[in-house]
Amino acid sequence: MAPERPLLEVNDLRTYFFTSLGTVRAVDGLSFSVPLQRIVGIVGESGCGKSVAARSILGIIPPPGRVVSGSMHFDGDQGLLDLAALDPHDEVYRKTRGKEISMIFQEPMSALSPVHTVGDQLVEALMLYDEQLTKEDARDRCIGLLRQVGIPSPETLIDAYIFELSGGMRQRVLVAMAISGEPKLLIADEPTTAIDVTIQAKVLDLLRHLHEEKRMSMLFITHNMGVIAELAHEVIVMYLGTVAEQGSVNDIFDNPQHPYTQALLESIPGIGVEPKTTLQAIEGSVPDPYRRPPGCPFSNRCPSFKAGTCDAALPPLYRVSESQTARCFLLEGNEVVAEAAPPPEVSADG
Amino acid sequence: MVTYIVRRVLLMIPTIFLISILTFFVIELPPGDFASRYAEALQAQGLDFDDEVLEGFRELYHLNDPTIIRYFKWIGGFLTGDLGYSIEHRRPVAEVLGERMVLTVVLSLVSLLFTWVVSFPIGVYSAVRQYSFGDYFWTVIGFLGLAIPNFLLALVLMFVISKYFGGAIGGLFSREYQDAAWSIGKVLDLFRNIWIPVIVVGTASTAGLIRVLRANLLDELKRPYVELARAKGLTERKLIIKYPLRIAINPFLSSVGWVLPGLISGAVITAIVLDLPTAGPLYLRSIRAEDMSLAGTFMMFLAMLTVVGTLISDILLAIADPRIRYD
Repeated sequence: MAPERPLLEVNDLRTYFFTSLGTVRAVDGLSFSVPLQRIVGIVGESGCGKSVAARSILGIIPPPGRVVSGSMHFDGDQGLLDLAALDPHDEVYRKTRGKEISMIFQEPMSALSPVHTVGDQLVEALMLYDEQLTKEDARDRCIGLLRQVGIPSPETLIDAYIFELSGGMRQRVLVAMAISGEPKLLIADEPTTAIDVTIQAKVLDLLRHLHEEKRMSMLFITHNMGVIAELAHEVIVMYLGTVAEQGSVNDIFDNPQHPYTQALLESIPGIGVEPKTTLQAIEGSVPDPYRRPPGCPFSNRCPSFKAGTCDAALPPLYRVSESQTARCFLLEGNEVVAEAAPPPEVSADG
Repeated sequence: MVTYIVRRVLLMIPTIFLISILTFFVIELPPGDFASRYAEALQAQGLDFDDEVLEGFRELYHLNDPTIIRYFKWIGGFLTGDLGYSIEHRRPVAEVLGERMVLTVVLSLVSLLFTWVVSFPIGVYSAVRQYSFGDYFWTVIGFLGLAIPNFLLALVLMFVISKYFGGAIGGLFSREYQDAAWSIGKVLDLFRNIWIPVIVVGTASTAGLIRVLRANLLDELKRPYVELARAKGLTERKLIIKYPLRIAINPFLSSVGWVLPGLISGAVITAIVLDLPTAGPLYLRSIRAEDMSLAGTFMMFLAMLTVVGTLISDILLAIADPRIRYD
């Protein structure tokens, strides 16, 4: 059986920001794929490029940022598209955005317009995705959507303003908006970070439920390993714009190979652990984007650092098993899946 | 919303009442009373005035009444359209003000329209295409507009026009219509001549509004709701008009409130330089000449226009922004 073509295949994606202080390589050689009907989790610390990767897929990178190279093949209604090759303002790209690939944003407080009603913003989306829809039908559909995401008395709340809703309700509105076009790929960018823990669980339940019901693929971005364990089928561990390790959720949690993955797992607080044990934190912090360490990006914080190897070159991607790969010299001797490609020479005007 | 408006209107009454007391106090401030000042004015022109006539005058105009009675007579007259008598012009204040107010309102409204029509698209362009050539170009023009005093711009324009185009400059009418009665021709003539004062009066506020709109819109363009609208798949033009512009427009609405009092007190120097028959120079002269009934009327009008203008912009803002609470 030939492997099914993935819904989204990202290959060597590089998204750079050309600031007055220098070039920030926010996403630098990222490759992964999202198979049909699967939930892929991207995990990593703040500043590792997770959100930029998500925005690259949607083609909404704000200037002075730009996708400089790589490919993003999306198998949508309009055939196989290489999103990276399209101009973000292109009509084809715009029609994919929101309808086929949608996104749930992190900040429910500010991601909705404060001066428009919930219904106004939702109906607008519905009518954009289905041009035949009348305003009345769109309103009915909108009420249905709000009910689907668990908003009580949607008939009244459809005319509410955002500031009249609680954080959890706002996040549900964002979810409703994201599924309004029946997307093939739903990107969730830290959808639970800004809300209460109790509400977090409910939103995660809702997302899992929607995934099962609509069989859509999901790209779930978070810094929370616990959320990944709960939701994702496959996991991508990102560090400084590139993949440190990727594999199935079992691979990553039971057999982590990259020292960064291991460190991330050790830093999860647990209920079952011995009281008074110190929570493991990863030494140091994510490097200054303008002064990246030479060689492996994690080398300056890595407990297994080997001078002369790790700071000399970026490690290639080694195969760990059928489903798992990792970018670390500790795996030297394993099959090389992809050599580390040097960053392309690009300038701001491209 | 309706209760909000009603409450705001009711609140205006005590405000205006307090202002009227203050205004009356200012009118009463100069030494002597209306009669003695009137006599002085006549004496300065060589006419003599004996005390008996003066006393009759006081009797006629109830000047011997207690202050409080005179206040109520004054404010009562104000409400019925009797604005008092201008010593300097020796005509009723209402008559002196009449035509000037019409022209002032026309000039101000046209200037306001000019300001908005010009600053709005430029402000939006400058924000959406930040740091583009066009943005820099308009920024330079805008700062020049802000930095050059209006009267200087007026002088330069007058010089350029008289040197290269010939023709009359100054005033709002050509010579043949100057003292003519109102007619279609006079109205057309007004609009032929009005553009110079409109440019002069409007440039600074246009430049100011461009800067304000650009800054506001730039702030709003960075907000997550704009990114969400983009991620929804809206076209850039549609989403900018619907979301960030809607919020960035608030300074335009608030500025409506200052426009009304500006009708009278604004652009005085420009009006003097361009010899415009508007209210500003008249107001200035009435104060210098201690023509208190005229100056007092102006003060009352200014205060009332400020209060009404603020009310209008508050209502507009309340309509535009649902976050503004009515209670």
